[in-house]
Amino acid sequence: MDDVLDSLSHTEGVFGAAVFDTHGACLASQLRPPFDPVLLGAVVKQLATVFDAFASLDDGEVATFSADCDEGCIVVRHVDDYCIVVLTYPAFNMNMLNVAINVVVRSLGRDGAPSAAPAAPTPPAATSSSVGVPPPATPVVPADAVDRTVVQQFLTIYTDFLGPAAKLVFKQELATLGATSRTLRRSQLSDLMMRLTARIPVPQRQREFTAAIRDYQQRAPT
Amino acid sequence: MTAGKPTRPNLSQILLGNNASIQGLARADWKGSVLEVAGKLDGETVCAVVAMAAQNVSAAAGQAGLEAPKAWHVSLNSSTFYIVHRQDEFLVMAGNTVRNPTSVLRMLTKSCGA
Repeated sequence: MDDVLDSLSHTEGVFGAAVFDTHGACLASQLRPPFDPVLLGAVVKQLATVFDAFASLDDGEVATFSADCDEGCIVVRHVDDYCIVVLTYPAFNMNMLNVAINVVVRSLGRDGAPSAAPAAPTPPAATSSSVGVPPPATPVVPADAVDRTVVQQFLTIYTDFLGPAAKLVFKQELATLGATSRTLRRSQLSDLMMRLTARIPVPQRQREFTAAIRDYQQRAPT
Repeated sequence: MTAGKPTRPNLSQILLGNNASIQGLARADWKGSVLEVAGKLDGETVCAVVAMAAQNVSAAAGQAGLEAPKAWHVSLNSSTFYIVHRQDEFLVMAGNTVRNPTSVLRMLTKSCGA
């Protein structure tokens, strides 16, 4: 059962996939950071309200859902007691994705539910667990890594400018650089700042963010 | 065509010309007030549901880090609803269930000029 999501997560354009049960518990997942089963579980919960609203229009439950968004696509398929959720980049082959989802559906039908243990939604330790993917080794902290408290302070400043989405965006940009808050190198810092600044929608706020970071760096050099 | 206000989509053209599975469509503002209906569709009810659900879809997309939704579909046992976001309004199209609703959604999005 460990490889239930293998073909799906390796489909071109797919960057995450998970299987949830009817109670919203994550049964299996293959997600790239910063995504984790807890985050995706919250998304599924949010969508459940949508499905309930539409179920009032027709006799029966929602079978499939997809949303084309600016930065990618989310595809949901309900099969029996399972909910398969797939995250994709904007460009993907829908036919290939359908085939891959069908494979997962058949696997679930044949093998039954995967063990809920490896990807239980609540404990933070489980957030990076994925069926079929060995748990990541503890990241090696480079000698020239930026002090984590400094990175956290950057996030705090960034939150003032981007609001609640700041943490997710921050994680995304760190992941793009192949780093985490612990392994970010000093040489990557300016690149990270440029990327974070670009995600702030208003130019004036971008300048203010840059000034705030500069001000902080002068007070606490990295 | 000059840039600025987006052109209003021709509902009848979408209904007749694009996809045989589409039976009705409506245009409404984000408060759920129906602006136009074509074909077989309970516009008032469907648009109210879409207006309410759109907030959750946007929130879910934001949580997933996918930014703003442009279009989405919900497929039930015997019907499928396609929703296309436009600047101050949305279009909702209702049809039969199809094999690949996401492909139909993309085609309809193009037809609507979104």
